[in-house]
Amino acid sequence: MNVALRVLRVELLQLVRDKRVLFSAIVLPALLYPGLFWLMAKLESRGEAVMAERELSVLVAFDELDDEVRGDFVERFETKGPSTLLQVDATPLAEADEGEPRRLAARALMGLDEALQGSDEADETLEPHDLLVIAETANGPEGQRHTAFTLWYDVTRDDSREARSRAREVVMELESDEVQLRRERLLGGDPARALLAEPEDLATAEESSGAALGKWFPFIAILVLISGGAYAVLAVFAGERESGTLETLLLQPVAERSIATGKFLAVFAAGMATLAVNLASLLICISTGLAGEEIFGGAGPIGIGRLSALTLELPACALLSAVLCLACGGARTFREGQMLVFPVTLLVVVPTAIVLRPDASLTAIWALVPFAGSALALRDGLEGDLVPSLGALMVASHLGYTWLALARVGRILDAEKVLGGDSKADAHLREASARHAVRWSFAAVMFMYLVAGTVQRWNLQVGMWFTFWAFLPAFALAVATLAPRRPGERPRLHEALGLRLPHPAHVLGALLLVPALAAGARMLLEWQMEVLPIPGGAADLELGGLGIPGGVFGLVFFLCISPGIMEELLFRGALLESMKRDWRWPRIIGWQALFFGLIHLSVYRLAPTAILGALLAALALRTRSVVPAILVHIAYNGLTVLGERAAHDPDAANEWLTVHVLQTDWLAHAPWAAIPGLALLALVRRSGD
Amino acid sequence: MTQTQVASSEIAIHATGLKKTFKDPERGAIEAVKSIDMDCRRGEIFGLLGPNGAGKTTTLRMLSTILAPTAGTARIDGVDVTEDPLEVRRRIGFLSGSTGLYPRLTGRETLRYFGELHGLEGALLEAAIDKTIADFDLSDFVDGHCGSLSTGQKQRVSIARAVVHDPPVLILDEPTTGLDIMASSDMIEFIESRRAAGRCVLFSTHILSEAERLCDRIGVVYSGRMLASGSLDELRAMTDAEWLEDVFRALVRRADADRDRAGASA
Repeated sequence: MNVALRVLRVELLQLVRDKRVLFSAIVLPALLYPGLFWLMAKLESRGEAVMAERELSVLVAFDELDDEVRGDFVERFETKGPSTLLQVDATPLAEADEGEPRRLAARALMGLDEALQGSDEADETLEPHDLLVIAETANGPEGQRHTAFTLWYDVTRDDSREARSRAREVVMELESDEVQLRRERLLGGDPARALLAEPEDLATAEESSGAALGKWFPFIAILVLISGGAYAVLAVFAGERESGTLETLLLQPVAERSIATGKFLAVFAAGMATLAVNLASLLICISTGLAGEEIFGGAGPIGIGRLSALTLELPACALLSAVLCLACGGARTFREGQMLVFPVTLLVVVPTAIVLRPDASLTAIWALVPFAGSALALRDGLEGDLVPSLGALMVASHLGYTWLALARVGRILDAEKVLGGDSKADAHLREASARHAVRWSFAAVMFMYLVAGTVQRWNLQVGMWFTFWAFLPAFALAVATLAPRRPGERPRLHEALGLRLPHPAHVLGALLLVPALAAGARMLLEWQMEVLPIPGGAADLELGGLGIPGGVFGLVFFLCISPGIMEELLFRGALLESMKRDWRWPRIIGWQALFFGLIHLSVYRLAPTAILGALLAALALRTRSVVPAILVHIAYNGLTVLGERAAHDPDAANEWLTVHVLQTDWLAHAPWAAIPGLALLALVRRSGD
Repeated sequence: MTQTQVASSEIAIHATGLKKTFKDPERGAIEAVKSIDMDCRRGEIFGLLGPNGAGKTTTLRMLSTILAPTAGTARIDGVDVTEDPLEVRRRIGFLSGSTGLYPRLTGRETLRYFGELHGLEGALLEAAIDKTIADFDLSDFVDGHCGSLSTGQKQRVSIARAVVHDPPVLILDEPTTGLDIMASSDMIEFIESRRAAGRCVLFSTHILSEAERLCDRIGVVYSGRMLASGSLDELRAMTDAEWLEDVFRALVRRADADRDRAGASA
């Protein structure tokens, strides 16, 4: 432990002297909240002041309104800010059909008509009006007059939104006065007083605020820790390699594990310092009034006793630091390490999201799930209903995982692995190839999240075409053609995409695995539904692929053939071939599982797709071809998608395919075919194996 | 003087049949070092001479316990490198041309850190640091951050860092690579001073003049094998060549011819 503490002291000394670390771990978190709240307050007050000064032009159609109400409206509206109210004839609007014609008529009245704007006939001296208020009155069943105000505005224009706000305030004031008057006139008082419901919260203010804090604090803590720990981990591992001191350090008469422990402690300290500064900054903002206590979302102060539950985050902080060390410790450069921070963030944030589910609580199983257990324990602790034994189980499991991760970090620092034996030129090329694959995988996931996913939400059919027949093949070709090569190596596109002729026995063996894969996926989903149920609305889309156009053919094309070919060409083709140049199979399978799970845009499908990605990667590695993976993917998707469709859609239950294939007895026994399938894959060798 | 005539207590480094094979995902097994036998004595400078890729660095890394030998044995100061690597590390100082320093630590902090890692503590540690600073004339810049030092000053701190624990064996991997004339001269002076202090110095180089000037004995390494070793005169006698460059060429030609003959008969 002495050695670890000496390494810790030196690492901290260097971190403290590094301006970049000081800025990202101390200065930025310290200034973040005061700056944010000050800026928000300034922007809000400045925005309100500016908008209150705006001269607004409002059209009113108040023909049906009493003079008294009309006068009241105009008088009150003018008190809200400078404005001009003009009476307008709204007959064209009343005569227009509902929907689009009426919207266009309103735009024309307000001078916003697209047909006129920019045309030769447009009068440039005329500014468009900001609001059109139409009042309509009707007699109620007991003779009272009801008035309805319709506010036509354009949400894309600041002045129009401001005019709408002022008009709504005026109408609400008028309504309040009118209701009061009618109560007094008709009932001699407020009848609601007789049936008043006064909710009384049994929770104390501390409990209420603790519960509110518990919902978001685990997220914030994790993200803050990553922001503080990420640079530290890069500095203590990749920085050591870049400065050429790692070889010297590993030559000292101390165990690699002691060095790894010292470095881990430095990362942990940096992360905790960032978190502490962040929290202190937040509390100072609240105590100085820069931010109100309501930012917690609770009813008041949380109390020191309840805040002590924050210590439950310590095991998660330790585990996160160890995971950061494990993931980024092998990086040879800062750039390579930075690339690995994002997957770690996702891996940690996804299980932490469990705190957002109100029905999830800390159980013995959840206590064992990394980061999910700690998040739930922290939430329960802040709410004041943590079961101590479950809390202890969570602490023990997370510290155990940390210990295991640290053992692996020690191996990362094994000199044999660090220094290898390869020449510098080869080492550079190997780095380049692996970096290329990970960089493009990351880009593909982000493109899916930001672009392809958006197109799918906008129009599912267009999104499917775009995703499968534009985005995925374009990325596959880009990865294959831009892959780094050795000097003199000729580019071969089909090789770079993994398009080699497989052994027929391997194809047969792979296809025999499909029923077992589908059965396994079904069991996994059934288990997952118990621990992470899919919300009702999302279930159809997640499981049955309902909403895909084109009936059964659409399903087969969009959910079986297209992903089977294109996803495989990108992942088990181009990316896997690039990874293969540098990595051995365990690492390839791990990265394939991670990115294949992430690209499916769903927390509910993360586990099944990640496992499928890992299995298909293993298959492609074994058969040295992407073709068996394509066939298995198509067949697997076919079985699962059509099976779910038959389960969810009553019409599909009577179709020929369902009756004669999916519901036959033999299919129930088909998973056993995996045994000869595995045997074929294992025993039949290709020439050169 | 042949090896058998040297008392075993005089041998600081002894290697027999040293071999190292790396596994490459694409190229399969690569034999970086095929067979190295060598002895280095106390108070002697032994040079490993060979072209790039000959296996010099891998050999030195095996001797300094960074890499585990695939086959063969090696003892440093009587301690087996595979049986007790930590004890071996206590007995060596290692320096290579690519060795760096922590840019945000001062020279004194660097010496203290590595002294502590070698188990030095308290007054013993402070005395070792002071002596090293005096020996290498570091006092003018030892309290400045290493990142702000000149190349020559960095080199001197690096050397001081490698010997702060006063090891009996010094292993140097191409120590003058990338250094200017002054820094190279300092390094050569340092190597000679270690011999004068009775230490064993093993260093690798591909600079013939350096080997010719410094080494008591030279081992010629080529394609992962030790082709020959001995004093310069012994090597001249083996090859009938006068200059070290000619000696080296003759040994390499002989090795290539042997390999071609072996290939043809196979």
